[in-house]
Amino acid sequence: MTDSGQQKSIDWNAIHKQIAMARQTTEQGWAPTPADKKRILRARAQALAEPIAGPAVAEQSVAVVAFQLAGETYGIELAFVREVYPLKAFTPLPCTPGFVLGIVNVRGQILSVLDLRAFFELPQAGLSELNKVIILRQNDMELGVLADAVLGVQSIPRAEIQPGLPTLTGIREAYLVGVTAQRLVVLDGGRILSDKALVVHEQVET
Amino acid sequence: MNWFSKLSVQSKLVAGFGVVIALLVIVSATAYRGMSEIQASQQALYEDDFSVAYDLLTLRSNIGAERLDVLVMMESGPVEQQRRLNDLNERTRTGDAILERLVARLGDEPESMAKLNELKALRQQFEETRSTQVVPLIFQGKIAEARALFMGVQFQRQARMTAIATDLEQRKTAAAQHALQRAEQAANTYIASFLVLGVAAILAALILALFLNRTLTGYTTEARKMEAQLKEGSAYTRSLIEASLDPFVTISGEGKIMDVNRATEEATGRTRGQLIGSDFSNYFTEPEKAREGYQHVLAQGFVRDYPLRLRHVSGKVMDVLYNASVFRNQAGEVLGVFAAARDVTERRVLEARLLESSAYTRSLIEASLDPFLTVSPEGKIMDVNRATEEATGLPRDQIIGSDFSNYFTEPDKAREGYQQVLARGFVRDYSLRLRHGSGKVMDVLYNASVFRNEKGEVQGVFAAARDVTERRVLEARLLESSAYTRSLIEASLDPLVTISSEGKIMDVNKATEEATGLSRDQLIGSDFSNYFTEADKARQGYQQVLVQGFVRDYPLRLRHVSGKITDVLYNASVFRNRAGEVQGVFAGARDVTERRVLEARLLESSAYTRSLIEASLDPLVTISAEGKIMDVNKGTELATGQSREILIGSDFSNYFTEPDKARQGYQQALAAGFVRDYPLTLRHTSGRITDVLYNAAVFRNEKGEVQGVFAAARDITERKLLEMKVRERTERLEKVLQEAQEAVNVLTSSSSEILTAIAQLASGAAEAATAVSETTTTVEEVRQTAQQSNQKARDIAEAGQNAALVLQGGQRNVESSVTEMNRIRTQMGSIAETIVTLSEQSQAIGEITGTVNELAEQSNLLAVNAAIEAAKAGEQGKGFAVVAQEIKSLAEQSKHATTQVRGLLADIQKAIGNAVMATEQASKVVETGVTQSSQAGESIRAAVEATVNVAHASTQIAASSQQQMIGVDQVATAMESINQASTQNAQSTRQVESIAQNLHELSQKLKLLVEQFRS
Repeated sequence: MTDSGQQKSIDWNAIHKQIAMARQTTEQGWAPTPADKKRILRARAQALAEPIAGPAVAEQSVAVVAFQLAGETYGIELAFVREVYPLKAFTPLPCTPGFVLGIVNVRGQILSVLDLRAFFELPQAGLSELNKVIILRQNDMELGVLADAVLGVQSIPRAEIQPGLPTLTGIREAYLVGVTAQRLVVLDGGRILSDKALVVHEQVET
Repeated sequence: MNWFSKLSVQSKLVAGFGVVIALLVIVSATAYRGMSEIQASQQALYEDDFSVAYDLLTLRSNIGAERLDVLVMMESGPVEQQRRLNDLNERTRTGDAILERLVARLGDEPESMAKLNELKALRQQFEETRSTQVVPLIFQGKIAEARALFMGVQFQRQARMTAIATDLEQRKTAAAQHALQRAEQAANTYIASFLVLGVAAILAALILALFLNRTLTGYTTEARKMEAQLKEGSAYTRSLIEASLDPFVTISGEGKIMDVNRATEEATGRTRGQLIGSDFSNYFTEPEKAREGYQHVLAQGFVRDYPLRLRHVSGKVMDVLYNASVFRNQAGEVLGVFAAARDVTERRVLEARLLESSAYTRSLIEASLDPFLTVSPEGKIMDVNRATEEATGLPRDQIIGSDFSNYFTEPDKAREGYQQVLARGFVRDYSLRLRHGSGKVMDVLYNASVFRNEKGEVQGVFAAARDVTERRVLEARLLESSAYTRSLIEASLDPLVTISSEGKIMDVNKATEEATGLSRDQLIGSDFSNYFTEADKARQGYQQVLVQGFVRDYPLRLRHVSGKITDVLYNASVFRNRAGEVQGVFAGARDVTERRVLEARLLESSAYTRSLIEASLDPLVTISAEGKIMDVNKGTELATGQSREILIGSDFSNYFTEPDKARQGYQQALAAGFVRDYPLTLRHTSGRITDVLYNAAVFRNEKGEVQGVFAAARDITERKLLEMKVRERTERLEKVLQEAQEAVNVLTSSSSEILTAIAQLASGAAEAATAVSETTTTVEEVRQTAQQSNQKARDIAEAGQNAALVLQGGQRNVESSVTEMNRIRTQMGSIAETIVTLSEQSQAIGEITGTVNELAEQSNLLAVNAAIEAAKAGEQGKGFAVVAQEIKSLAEQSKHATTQVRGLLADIQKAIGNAVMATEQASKVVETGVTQSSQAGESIRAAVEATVNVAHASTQIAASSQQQMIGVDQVATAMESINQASTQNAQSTRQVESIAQNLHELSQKLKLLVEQFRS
């Protein structure tokens, strides 16, 4: 009897109405209303209308590709970045130091991928997706750097870049350009690329 | 020394000790002073002389060492030179310090000071030369020059310095020696004085000791003397104690014997050694009592005449009385008990004798026939003798201690009696009535006196009673008779008078007083003849009496004071005492004035009564209280055959065959006042016997006193004959009646039997009627019950049919519900399927969103790459950079949307899970419901069948009970007829019974009549 009572308390009509509305919205969802369209376009126009501070002060700012790694935000000068690429499959390479994750195939080109955490001797703490590769290039040297997420290209005024914190010592200090007020650590891509430590010469004794 | 010897011992001692102490003080002071002086000189010696000498020695050695240093410097290399130079400087400083110290020490000795100054100057020069010349030369390598200098001037200076130092040293040593000598001398002096004083002190002490000794000896001698005296005294006491014939003993607080005397040894038969230290109580027959005794002494301080029995070793026992008291030391503490015993054995003997003599007295008392008793001042009986026991009828034990007055008819009087004794000391012939236990009363005269103890205090009353009962009786009789006589005299209507031989009236009676009008007092002693009209004739009359001894009817005229004259006839006679001597005349006057008139009348009436009595045919008799015949009538004469004269005065009982019975008869009359139909048998002199019935009554005089018995006899001899005849006739009648009664008895018993039988019959009929009636009632009840059960069965049949209908309806409902349930189950299945589909679809959506997310990610990367490319393109790529930025934001938005979709999907999936679970449970419930409703349907179907069966069965019951009811009705009708018949039967039986009852009653009456007639 209690079951039937509860059944009676359910308003089936309301439910039917709700379902119908849901169906309608689902059907309409793929075609935005004219008002929505207008609003989106207006916002876009405003965004496009904003003057770009870049060209006039090109020398005073630097464009970097910002990315996240182990909870910190890093940036590498755009000049050293060839492209970003999702890490799909990599081949671990034997007889390499710990910071070398392995090699990847990027459109037929074989690139070695570095784990900067190991390279910078950062604590291996926290969850990391490490499913992005930022491909650096200078002259003939090309290599991939692992990242948790690529945040995009940012333009940072040079004045904002402060020299490295005195607490940062060792290898990290050497690769650092500076830190912004937004705690974005600007790495020296050129230095990473030209580091001797990257020249791997290890042999496996047979 | 004279004055000294006069001083008291104490003063001498104080003086002596004072001297000794003073000497000792002086000795100590001297010793201290000498010691301190020696110490001071020693200190001076050390501080001044020795330290100075030491310093000088050090200085000298220092100088030597310096020289050595310089010499070494000359020979050695530069390092050693430097070291030596340092050493040299050090030594120089030390030398300076010593010199300064010496200056300070020798400041007060000018001679030494001069030498010291010289030394100082030399040293300065020496040092200067060395430091300024020698040492630089050495360092310069000019050793030869330095050596020359050193060995030259310097050496001389050095030698000089050493000499001065040595000289000073010697001086100081000498001074020190001198000081030592001085100190020794002082020490010697002090030792000498110390010795002298010490010896003096010792001498004084010796003298004192001697003196003390003498004094003490004096005291000791005195003490010895006193001790000797004491000893003597105690020996005397001791000898007294020893000499005592009574056993003395001292006992410690613990009850141990501390000391005994000779008598105790004898009394116990033990030596002193054995006794002392042993337990005191052991020597008595009752140790406990002995212990109590001395504890009593310890508690109270003394005890007097404490009786104990002392036991000799030989077993002989001695009675002793102990007097004891505690003895104390000077501090008043109790040391023990001093006990003296007195042998009371002899006293006992005396006591025994006393007892014997008292026993003798006692036996005397006991032997007495008079009741003796002693009464305490409180009135309690203390002792009685045998006679008292007999007199009271109670044993001695009961009497003693009881109240004295209880044993008397008048307790108050008895109490008064002994109180009188206590008050006066004695009482004589105190009459009391002693009551015997049996109630018998004894008159006693008590003679009693108090008895006292040795001190004269009244101890009680000693009373002796004498039985006076017999005497009393006699006295009583006498008194009675005299009273009787007196009353006779007084009662007399005639004036009676006694006259002395001199003619004087000695006594008169009441009547005389009335006759003369004078009081008795007036009459007595007066002249007899005065009261008569003819005094001479009266005088002659009594003289005649005196002469003749009597006189009869002597006519005189008595004169009343009022003047009235009475004619009297005097009868008089003399009366004599025991010795027969004439005492006087007793004269009785009779008033003949009235008598004359009355006499005639009385005579007449009495003659009439007499004639009546005489005329009676029945023997009449008056009997005195003593049983003597006083008077008889003619009838009695005839009945006894004796003449009146013989009869009167003779014993009444003599004339009967049973004298005892006759006597009883008149005694009964005397006691009860009368007697009726007392049967006696009168004996005639001829031997004829007459049966008589006596009726008797007492007769009294005027005062109501019983005078005798008046008895009338009736001759019943004839009546007896008649009775005989009647009896014969009655006997005959009796026989007839007996026979009649027997017949009646037979009749009665038969009728009774008939009655019983009929009664039984009646009761049987009644019972039968009752039974029939009960049966009828029962049948009626059965009929009603059958009717009820018929009705019930019909009702049940109806109810069963109704129930079947209801149940069929229920069955249909259940079946439809089963159908519904099945449908629900089907629908539930479709719902479950739908939900599963939903779940699958939502999973697909999830997959799609994953793809979308992937796409967004890639778009983002593409946007970044585009931005990079744009940046590389430089100025031309700027527009492209904006597009790339836009693409990137779109990618981020789509990524955000996918995240939202994924969240929603998770919710949907959770809801679907719940729905699946609910559906599963619901379908299970529905399944159960289907099963249960199917079962319910089955049950209801079975119930319908059962109900239909019940309805059929109850219809059959109803039919059969209808038939049963008809049968019962028939039985009821039959029973009603039976009931009527039995009621009629019972009625007729009752009639028969009443007839039989009547018959029985009739026979009973007859029987009663016959019995009555017989009896």
